[in-house]
Amino acid sequence: MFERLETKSVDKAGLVEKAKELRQDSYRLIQLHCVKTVTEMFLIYSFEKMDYEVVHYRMDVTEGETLPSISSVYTHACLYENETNELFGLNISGMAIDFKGTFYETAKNHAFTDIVNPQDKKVSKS
Amino acid sequence: MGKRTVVPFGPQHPVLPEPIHLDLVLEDEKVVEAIPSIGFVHRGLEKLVEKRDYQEMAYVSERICGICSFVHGHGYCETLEGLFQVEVPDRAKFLRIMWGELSRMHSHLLWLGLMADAFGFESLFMQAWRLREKILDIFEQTTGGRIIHSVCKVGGLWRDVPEDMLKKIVETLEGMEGELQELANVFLKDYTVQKRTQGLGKMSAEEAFECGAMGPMLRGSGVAMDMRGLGQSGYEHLKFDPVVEQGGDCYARTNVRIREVFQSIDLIKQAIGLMPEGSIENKVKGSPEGECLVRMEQPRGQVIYYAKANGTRHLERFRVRTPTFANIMPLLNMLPGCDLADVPILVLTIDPCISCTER
Repeated sequence: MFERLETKSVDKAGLVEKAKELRQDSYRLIQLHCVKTVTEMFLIYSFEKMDYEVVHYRMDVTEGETLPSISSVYTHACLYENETNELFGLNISGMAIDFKGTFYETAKNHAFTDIVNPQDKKVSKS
Repeated sequence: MGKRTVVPFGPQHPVLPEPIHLDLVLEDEKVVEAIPSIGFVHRGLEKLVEKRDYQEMAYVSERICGICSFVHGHGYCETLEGLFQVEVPDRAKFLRIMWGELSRMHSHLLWLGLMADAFGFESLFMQAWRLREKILDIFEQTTGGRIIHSVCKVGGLWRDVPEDMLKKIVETLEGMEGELQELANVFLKDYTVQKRTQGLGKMSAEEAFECGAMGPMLRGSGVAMDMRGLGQSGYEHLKFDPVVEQGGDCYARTNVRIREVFQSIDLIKQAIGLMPEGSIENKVKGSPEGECLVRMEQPRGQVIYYAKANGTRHLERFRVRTPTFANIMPLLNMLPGCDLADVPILVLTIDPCISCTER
């Protein structure tokens, strides 16, 4: 049995309001992640209730875009948002804790923005 | 108001098992604020999906963690099976449950040992780890490896376990129950242990749920959430109720983990009892396509795997949200107000695995 990934759509103007609405409805944030492929870039926010019910919201974004933080609604969202900012280079305004690029002490900034072509044998061997 | 001092704590520290750094803002010896930083050993394993094909990634995902390596391999394979829409045979499901629960037992015993060490009870630490060795021996006998097992593949398993070995596992686990009970008695009844854990790091059920706590952190505060209760991956055939404690403190979380060790023995015995004969693999063909997200219960709590594929042998994105990452915020909420001497116990109470977090 597999849980199907069904996402609802949300835009950045309605994101914080949607988070407030979900919190009101007893959902908590369980994860936020960014996906960048050759053709698209989006975020997936997942919210869960105590009875295991889960909803996922997808927000399409562009590289370097500034997005609102939902940490005013779910404080712990700021950890996911700092991760997204540091690995994918998305700017997130109003985070409850802004690590200003020091949450992950990675050698390279925005390390997940370059997409490796698997056909490139040089890269495959490295 | 006392004088404020900032004490850097970690990433290298005698009582820290994992490389996390905390800037502790103190007033005299009371913590008023804690600012974390991680990333000292960030490996970018998620990014490797662009270089390794989807079958090879099963081995990579096992290397996310040295304690719950089996669970990560299993989680990855189940996510890919979701993309392929392939159901694994029942025998493989029950064997996966067996290894998954053995992982939980050895993870909890490792944690109990570290906890005992953190409050200076060294003989208790040694006893917990002595018992853990028996679990590692079972892993070695059934998979060939104590840490990295490499038995899971997309569609099933690489190897079966013979019936006489399954019987021997049940005997070993039944033989351990008495020793585990003695260990549990010390953890739960000894005055010195109670003194260091009771009333420390209290979190109410609402607080724990809202700040994103997972696993024993959540169940120790009275919230009966355990992803095994979703009734998938074979757990739907087993009698299972989440272990819950109401105390919401370090003692309650210790109790949850101890009771889960006994619960795992029960689940393994149920799984072996129900295990049918037959195939351990349904072969997958072609390349994966689409998106899948899987929630599972790791020893430390809920873990989330996400995969996106485009019909080639390389995934476009693989994401793991580990329970330790989710439990960082509860830790930051628990630290203010505690004594500096209690910081190691509070860090340990979330059962931190920075290796997982630094996937």
